[in-house]
Amino acid sequence: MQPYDIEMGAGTFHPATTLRTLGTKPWRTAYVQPCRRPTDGRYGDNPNRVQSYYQFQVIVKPSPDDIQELMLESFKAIGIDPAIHDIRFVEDNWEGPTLGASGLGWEVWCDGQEVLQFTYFQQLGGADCAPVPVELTYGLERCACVVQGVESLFDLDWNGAEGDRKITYRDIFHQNEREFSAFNFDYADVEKLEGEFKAAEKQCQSLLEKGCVLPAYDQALKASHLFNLLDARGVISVLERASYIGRVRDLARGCCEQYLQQQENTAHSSVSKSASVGA
Amino acid sequence: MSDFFFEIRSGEIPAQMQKPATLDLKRLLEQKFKDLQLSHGDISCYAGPRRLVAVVRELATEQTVRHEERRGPRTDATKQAIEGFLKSTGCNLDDLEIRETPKGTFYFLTETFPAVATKTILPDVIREVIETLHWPKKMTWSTTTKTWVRPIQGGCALFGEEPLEFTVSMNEDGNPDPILVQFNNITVGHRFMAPSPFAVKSFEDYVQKLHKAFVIVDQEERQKVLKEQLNDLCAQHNLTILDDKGLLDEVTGLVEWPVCLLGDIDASFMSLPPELLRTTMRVHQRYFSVHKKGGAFAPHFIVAANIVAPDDGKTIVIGNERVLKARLSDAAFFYEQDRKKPLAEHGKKLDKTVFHASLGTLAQKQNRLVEIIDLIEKEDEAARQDAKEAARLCKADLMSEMVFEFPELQGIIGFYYAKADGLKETIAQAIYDQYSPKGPSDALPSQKVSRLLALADRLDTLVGFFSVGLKPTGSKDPFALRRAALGTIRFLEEGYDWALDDVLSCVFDLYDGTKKTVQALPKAEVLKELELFFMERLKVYRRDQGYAHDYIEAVLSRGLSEPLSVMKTRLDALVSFVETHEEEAVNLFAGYKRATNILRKEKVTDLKEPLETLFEKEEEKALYKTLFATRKEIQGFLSQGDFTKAMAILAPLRSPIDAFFEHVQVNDERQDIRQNRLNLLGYIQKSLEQVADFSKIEG
Repeated sequence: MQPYDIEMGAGTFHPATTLRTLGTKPWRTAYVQPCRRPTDGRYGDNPNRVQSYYQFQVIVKPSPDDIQELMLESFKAIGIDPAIHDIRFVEDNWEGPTLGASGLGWEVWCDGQEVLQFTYFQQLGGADCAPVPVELTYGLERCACVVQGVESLFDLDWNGAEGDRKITYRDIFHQNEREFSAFNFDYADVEKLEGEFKAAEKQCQSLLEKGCVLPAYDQALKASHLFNLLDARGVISVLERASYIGRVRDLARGCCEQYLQQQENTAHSSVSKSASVGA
Repeated sequence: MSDFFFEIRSGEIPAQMQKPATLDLKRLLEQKFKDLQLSHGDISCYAGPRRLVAVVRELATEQTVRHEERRGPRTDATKQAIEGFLKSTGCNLDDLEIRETPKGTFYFLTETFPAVATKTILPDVIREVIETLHWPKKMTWSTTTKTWVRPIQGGCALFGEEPLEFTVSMNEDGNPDPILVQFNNITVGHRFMAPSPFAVKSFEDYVQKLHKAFVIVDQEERQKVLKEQLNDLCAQHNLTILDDKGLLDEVTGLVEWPVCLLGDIDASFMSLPPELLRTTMRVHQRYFSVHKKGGAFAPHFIVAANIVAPDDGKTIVIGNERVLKARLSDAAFFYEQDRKKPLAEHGKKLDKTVFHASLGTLAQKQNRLVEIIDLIEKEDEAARQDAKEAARLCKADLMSEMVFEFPELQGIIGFYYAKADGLKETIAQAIYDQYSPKGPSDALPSQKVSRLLALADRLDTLVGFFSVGLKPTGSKDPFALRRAALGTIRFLEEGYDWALDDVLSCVFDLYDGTKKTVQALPKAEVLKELELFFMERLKVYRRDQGYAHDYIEAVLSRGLSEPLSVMKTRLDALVSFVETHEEEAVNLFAGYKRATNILRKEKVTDLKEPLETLFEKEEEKALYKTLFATRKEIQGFLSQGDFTKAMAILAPLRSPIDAFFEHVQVNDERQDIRQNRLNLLGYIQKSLEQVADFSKIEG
């Protein structure tokens, strides 16, 4: 599939994961998703932490028995050889409070670097997952660093050319990191963000009332990102933080619940249709 | 008899859950074989990242014929009840036996279970293990409804040399398409170095073959190998490893085949606080920190890899060094962000940060600490001023990015920032030490200013939580109040001569206007609860120090009105008295108890001074005279705090007391003589109680 065109903190928020993994229907997909995490900005000074980066997301429901082996095969395919590197599955309890989601699995480490998140979803939108989807989230820059053996993601070779035509990750993204870090931490207009948050929240609720789940979910995503920006600006106190998270969760959960409801209704009507055809 | 062995393979088990799982598995198997009436030898359980293993030695091969007796309904029960019983057991009335019991006449049924070959039961044992073993967090996967810590991939089971082949369903009975786990005699080795399956013939064969396949099954052996490698690597590079049992245990659970490698910390980060380096490496990367031979933090780390790489681990080391660089660069980023303003400036946010929802803000806590320090240090003006200065800043680092990122660095970060702000070394050190001692074996902070702040903080915390009813219950102690009390006790007995009760009362008053009144309890009740709590902690602490419980009780009677340091001296004097005057002590205590018992039996309440004129026998006169003389002397020594001497005077009292009980009849017919003798008993009691409550001493 293609990336979703709204700012989000992780590929998990793509409707192909959050919404499509709800319910009992089998589902398998993979896509690249650009991610934004305003608080992770380091003005381009950190070798592997940035406020904007790319994930490759794989979702398989129900989880196959050999998924760990499949994942390791994919490492070999992109040039991470488990015979030379130290690959480890380290405990990870994932919680996505704004999605009412949780899962168990691992951080997959390559030589001490977390390069992939491996999660068996247990709950999504507040409901238990049955069957269980498994999510593999590859940190693309970090995987590339291992493959190319570079110190910093900014040193990643982008096009394989030499001389004048050589382009690195730095050439493409460093200015982006510097300026967006400044925006996220220092210059984003707090009043405007707060207003937009409220507007997105209101629009999401009203769309849900009208049964427009997918557009409502877009608004929930926007609210989530606006909250992340406010958080990066350091204007949210501990108490307010919990309340903001609760508000975003309510929106996301509302979308999940209604999406699931719609799925069930369609399933019922198709069952009754086929039943009447049979009769 | 044969050995029964099985392995349950799964996705990587979280390191910290492995050890508890082995203990629970052992307990479960012991119980199960007891219920099945199957005799067995030792049970050993092992855990590693990908497998949980048990071996039951010398398990009986057959469950012999068993008889179980069941009591049925009464003979005069309704027809339905009797028929119901017959139906549920599948018997006829003829099979039942009628027997009289003290509770009435009942039908009895003796059920006979035929001999069963153990091997036919074992699959069910494993099924039960999978269903009931405790994991702190369990999960479903694919379409399973039953759970395990991570998805189960397969199993291996043998009884003697015979493979046990069966499947375990991870769904409820009746599911048409269940997820099945296959058990047989096949296992697999190391995930990367020996992934091909192979068959095993016995537990010994399994352990040996896995060793050849780069898996050390026994976690203790794995840890031993890990330790040896750590030590060897350190020896080669002239380093010493920093002891860290917790990390060692965790890493043991992260690798099947440990391979320790030495990496370098980039020189540009060596100016960061060593505690920060160590915490970053430990918490985020599970690296071991090392010191140079002289003691300084060395610019290296040790990582335990899980693989023997063809390039001797060069790629792995480079990768790990790179990650650490990024981690430390992040730490340095927070450090620089924080250092843009002084510590005091960070502290300004404390008045918007709650200490606890019912107990006001951290800023208010700091203010109270300043006042508590005034209460507990009256003499040393310099120390008091420094401690108060430290108290005004002590929680400020909680507002820093650094402590938000690494909560375990609270205090430590405050110390570095305070020093960077140019504050006095003693003040910075007190901020560093405020949370010490953390455990019972930690040393107390060495400087006085630190102790004042650390003690004040504990007193404030204890009084606060108790005053809103949040005291520890059972195994629950979310605010670590037991630890706070233990720390308080240790501080107090090492050099403070004031009684705790007054101070607790003053601290309670300091909370006025801060507490949420809804939860607040009345002062008298809070102080009583605190006294009971301290007494309980004190007993536990003394027992841990090796004192006998009855001696501990004997010096507790004055409660918190006696300074703890004095109470300790009294206890030591009591112990040494019994050691040096063993025979006298035993008799003396017996005499004291005899006197106390008589007084209790006679329900005597208003004791007076005995009158010499009413004494008739020599023995009572002599006793009174000796007591009268020694009592004064004891008081003299007590007022000087010399309990050893006070007790030494007690020793000679033994013979006049013995003589009195031997020759004098207390219950005289004449009321005034009798009363006077009772008064004399009271006199014995009081004289001795000045030193300790001997009635508590056993034996």
